[in-house]
Amino acid sequence: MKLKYAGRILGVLGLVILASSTITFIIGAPLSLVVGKVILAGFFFATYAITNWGDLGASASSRGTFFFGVSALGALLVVGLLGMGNYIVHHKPKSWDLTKAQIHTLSPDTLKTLDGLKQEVTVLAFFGSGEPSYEALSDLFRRYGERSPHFKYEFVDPIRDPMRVEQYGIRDGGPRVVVKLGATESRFQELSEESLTNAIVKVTHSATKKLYFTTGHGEADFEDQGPGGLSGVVQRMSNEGLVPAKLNLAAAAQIPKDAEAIVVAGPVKPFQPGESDVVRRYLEAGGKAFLMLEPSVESGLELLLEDFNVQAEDATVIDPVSRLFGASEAIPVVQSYNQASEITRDFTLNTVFPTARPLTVLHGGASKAVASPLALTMPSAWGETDLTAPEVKQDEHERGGPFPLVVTVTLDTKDAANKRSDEARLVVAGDRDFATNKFRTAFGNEDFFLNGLNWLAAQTERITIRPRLREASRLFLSPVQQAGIFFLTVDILPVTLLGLGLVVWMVRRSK
Amino acid sequence: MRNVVAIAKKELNIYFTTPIAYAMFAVMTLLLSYVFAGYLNAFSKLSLEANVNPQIAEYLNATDMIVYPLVVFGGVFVVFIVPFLSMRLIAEEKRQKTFELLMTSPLRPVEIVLGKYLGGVAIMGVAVLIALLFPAILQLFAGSAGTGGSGGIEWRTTLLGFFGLFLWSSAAMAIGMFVSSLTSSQAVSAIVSLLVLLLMWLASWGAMATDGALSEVMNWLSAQRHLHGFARGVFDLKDLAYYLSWIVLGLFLTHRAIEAHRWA
Repeated sequence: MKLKYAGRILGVLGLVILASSTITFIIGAPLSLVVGKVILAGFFFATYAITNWGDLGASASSRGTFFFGVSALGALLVVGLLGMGNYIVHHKPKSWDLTKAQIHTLSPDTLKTLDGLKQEVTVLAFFGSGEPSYEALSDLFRRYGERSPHFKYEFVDPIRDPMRVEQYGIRDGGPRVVVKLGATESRFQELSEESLTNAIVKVTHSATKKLYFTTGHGEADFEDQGPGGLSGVVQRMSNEGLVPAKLNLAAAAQIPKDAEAIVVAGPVKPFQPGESDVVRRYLEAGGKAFLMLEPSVESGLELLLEDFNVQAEDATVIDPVSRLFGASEAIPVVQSYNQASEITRDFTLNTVFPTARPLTVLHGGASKAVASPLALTMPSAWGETDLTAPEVKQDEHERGGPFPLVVTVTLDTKDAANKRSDEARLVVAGDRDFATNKFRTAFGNEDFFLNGLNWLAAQTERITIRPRLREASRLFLSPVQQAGIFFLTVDILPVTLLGLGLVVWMVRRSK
Repeated sequence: MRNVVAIAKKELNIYFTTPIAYAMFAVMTLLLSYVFAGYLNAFSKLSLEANVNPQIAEYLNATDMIVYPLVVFGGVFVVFIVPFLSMRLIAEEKRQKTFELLMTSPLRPVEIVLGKYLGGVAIMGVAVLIALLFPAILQLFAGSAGTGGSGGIEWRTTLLGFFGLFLWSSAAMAIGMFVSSLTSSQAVSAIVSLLVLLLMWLASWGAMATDGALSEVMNWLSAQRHLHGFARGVFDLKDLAYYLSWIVLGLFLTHRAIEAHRWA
């Protein structure tokens, strides 16, 4: 009898443990703990069954047990049917956007892009579920996924999965969404339908594009894995579908036809006139180039640049404020960008340009090229012309900041003979070190460089999708109105209801 | 059907002739009004700020910033109030020993279940209608108080949100009624229902702590997630199916539990 009693207590305990294991599960405790609790509950039930075998046997043969069995089967059937129904609407989703401005509906451009997907596109979003953007982003992904079976997405919690953060080189303040198709990838920072759709367009359209790096003048080498090499950025570049190749201009009469752009990574020996002519002809026919110059070096491209309305000064940028960032004063920090440029739109990271050369945008020349500053130094910077002086300070004739360190140039080439494209594009940087292995991971350097290359190599026009917002509304309440609302809702409404209840109660009681 | 209506009427009669419904409405409006007033104040402050900072003006919207949180808070309220309304549905009959009377009457168990359920749902329907007074008051003031744009709130989104709230209370009522049919103690019924509803509401926490398919299942289980859809103005079959499933399951199980008395 005592054994029976103990068995029953264990049975009840088993029930409690089983019920509490659902809570254990929901609060996210390790699965092993949940399984452990379920097994313990099972053990208690078994003990109960063994010690109370006689009673169980008696009730098992009764009509009640038969009914219970039928009910349990019926319940299983209902649960199964409901589960199936839910599964179907989950996999064949249908929804109606009842908002006035259709704010939860994807734009026609996005739908067209998604319908055109033939291969699987995977999106990795490095966001934890507690972050403010998580909800909206996951909702956006869900809608994309509902439209196309080829759209897959995954959230990676940066805190729980630092390995992958490292693997993808995700940095705080940098882009945290990676869109991948095979080995090609594209990243974006501004969380919007526009960015996501454009990233998809980019990975699906980027048949590998070739970028030619000039050689023979001591340029930084993309195969060099040392601190002065470009192997790091080139790795990221290849991920984005931009393949590097070498080009010796002395041996080539023209830039190869398949060049999407050329990169001149900081020559230390001057370009020969013939070589710079090849570059000039290429640009005038709608070519694209990224030119990096170093201070105190004659590159042989100065005249060419002046024809494109950019002048490289013979000075080295000094900025004492850089010390605040832990850098030497010869490493100017840039915080100000041209927000109108596609390269730096929404770009908020700092960049650093070790031993850089000031640039000037020229106006009013005969050239039709349009140059505009892309990145500006801080006001505290100046262009030092004499580094050998015992004390480095700004002299009267030396130009003070802010002045451009990076400049973009465009030239309309619609009417050019043998044109390669309708618009020549040029990015001129007064520095090459910022992209090297040593400095590429500093602040936003790598993203800045890649944005520049992407701008040069862009074939497709960026799709613009105006974000759909609810009609903006505002509310200006006078203190009287505010008090009125407060009085009405906090006071009148509940008190009326409570009073009504009291009256009903008292009337009923007096009857 | 006549029997169903008769039972529902009797249930409603009990709710409205005792202070229980009024007390519930009063507590609900009091809590909602604090939430409402809080968000309203914040919104009018932001509206003022938008004068100096036009960037935020574009994103200001009374429906998103006042009605949406109101609906979500209403969902939390459902978790805490429905157990106290559903607890007596069947347990009370058992305690007062009127259940046997009911069982020997010519009423079929289906009619008893549906009638009692309709009574419970009707009271929540009234509660949701009362809660709709808040957006109505907002419209009254927002329409007159110099708003940018169209003025006032988006009624389609608002009504959909409150419809979602009604669905969630109906699902909660079905679950609560099932729990009530298992016991003759109202207290036990209320506590167990509260626990179940709370778990349903908070299942999305589990989704945050897990990943992969498990996280998806937890998200599906979460009553909160489905209510968000309605509150944002999207009518999704998934969300509808979720709440309807709980209603059907709750009613079916209650029916089986009542039938069980015939067999035990």
